[in-house]
Amino acid sequence: MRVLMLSWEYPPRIVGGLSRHVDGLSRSLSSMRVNVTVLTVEHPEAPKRETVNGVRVVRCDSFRFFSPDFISWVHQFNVWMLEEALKIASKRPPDIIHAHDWLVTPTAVALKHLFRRPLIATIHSTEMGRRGGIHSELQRHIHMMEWWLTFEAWRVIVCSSFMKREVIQAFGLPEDKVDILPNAVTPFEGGLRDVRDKYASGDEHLILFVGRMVPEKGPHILFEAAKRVLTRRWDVKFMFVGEGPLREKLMKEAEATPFSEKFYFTGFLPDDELKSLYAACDLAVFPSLYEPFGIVALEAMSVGKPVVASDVGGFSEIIEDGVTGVKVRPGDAEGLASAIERLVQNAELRRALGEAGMRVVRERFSWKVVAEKVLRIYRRVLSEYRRGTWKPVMPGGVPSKPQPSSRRTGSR
Amino acid sequence: MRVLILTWDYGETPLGRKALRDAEKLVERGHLVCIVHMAILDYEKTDGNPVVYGVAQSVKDHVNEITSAVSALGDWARGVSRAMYEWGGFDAVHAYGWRAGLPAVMAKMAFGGTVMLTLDEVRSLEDPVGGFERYVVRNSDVVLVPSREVKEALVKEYGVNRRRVWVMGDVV
Repeated sequence: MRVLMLSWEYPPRIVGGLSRHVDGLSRSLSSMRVNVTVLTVEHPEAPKRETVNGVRVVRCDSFRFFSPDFISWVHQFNVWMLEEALKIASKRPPDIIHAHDWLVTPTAVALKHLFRRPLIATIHSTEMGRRGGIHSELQRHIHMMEWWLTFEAWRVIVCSSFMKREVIQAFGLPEDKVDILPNAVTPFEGGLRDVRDKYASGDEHLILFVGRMVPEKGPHILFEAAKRVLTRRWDVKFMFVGEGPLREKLMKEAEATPFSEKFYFTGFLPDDELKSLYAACDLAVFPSLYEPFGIVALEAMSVGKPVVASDVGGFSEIIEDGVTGVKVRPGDAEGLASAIERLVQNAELRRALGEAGMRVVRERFSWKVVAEKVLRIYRRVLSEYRRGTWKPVMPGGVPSKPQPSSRRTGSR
Repeated sequence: MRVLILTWDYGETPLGRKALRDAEKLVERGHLVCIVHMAILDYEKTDGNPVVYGVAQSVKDHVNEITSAVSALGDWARGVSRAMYEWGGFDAVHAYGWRAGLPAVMAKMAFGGTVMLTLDEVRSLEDPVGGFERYVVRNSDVVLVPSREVKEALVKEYGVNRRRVWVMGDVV
């Protein structure tokens, strides 16, 4: 089976969870003898073409000329992505086109129709969910691109029941067109560097936040909670890992508090360093206001760390309160502060939650398990496709239309 | 010859009217013509020559000219694929304007064949749209322009080989 995976994010470009998802899924599918080609956008630190763990990766141009804004840039790279896709597909079209999120919609839909191959879409989040509604022309355009991708797709994959409800509501999809497949995590490879001493003294508890520094991920909620915790105890340090518009704002606010040395804002960290941090922390906190899935929680759980997360979206489904983590009301800084303090004070509870979380990740959220489910969807779609009448173009065939009209009498 | 004409509009703007006139002339000379154009709703007119497939633009909320043109590629592909499937290929694809030129180049890459492009003006490369127009021009086999002035502008602005640019005066 040949699969062409389309995603604007792919390592080393890591913006959110999308990149790791496509990477993990592609690797696992490849290990199951699926021929996977990932078509993504160029990155200065990666070659245009490479094969990684059996996955063929092709990176298209992103800038051939000036783009006035982000949305124009997205559409520009789609032209170059489609150009690369046509080079690949015109030799031998894929059996399945699998597109991830709206940014690759023009390429995905064009390929589907040109080669008449089934398209599968994974929707990782929606514009409506991210922004709490549609408030501008740009957002409406993105929303429509998301709708179009789901409309054109044979099947739509989402990562949680929460997201299934959201796509059905936002795009008017029939319920039986949507499959729920959770995200997964790749087990950490190699040894983890001991970085704890770099950030915290022996008697300090290291509390870790990982995510984009944007309101929907709630770093400002954790910051408020941290200030409350720090007024009551000094043996804690808060580490914010991730980039985004809130980073600078919170850094300035932290500077203005009496606890400025208790906050770290690292910005984006490469994978190996991030993994070492997960291993080094005492507690991971994810106070999102909107969370389609929440792969960061799985990453922390996979190394046996206790998690405190908002009772929202995917977190609500991943975490069993008091068993594999602690859930708090979204946006409740005081509740979050209490939960953090409760865990900081209770090493035994931290250990129990961490062990239970690690077990759940191994059983339910490994890429092998998820990729097997994806493969079942591919097989089902291909079986339906083969029984149908919608089939590829055969260039060079005999034209059947039009019937010559009475006007077709002139000289050539 | 079997000719596939791609035009954003069909008979409404000067370029669309040119597409309509050219299609009629080709039919008069005995060629088989298929037209794919953007329409309000999908429709088809398959009785006689030319055959017309109107394809509706799925995403109608746009931010600018670029988002409108590129997001339509999937819709163009729907029409082009239909034409290819029904006809089994074309001797030439003739596009009117850069927005229709994008799917023409796409069709050439997917199925082979020759692309002719009709342009009535040249966009500056300082205009972000100019980059797309230059891409389409460079990937077309022949570019038809209405005057020497436009030809010179095309050669100068996009660095295109002047032998591939043909002046075809407008008619009234």
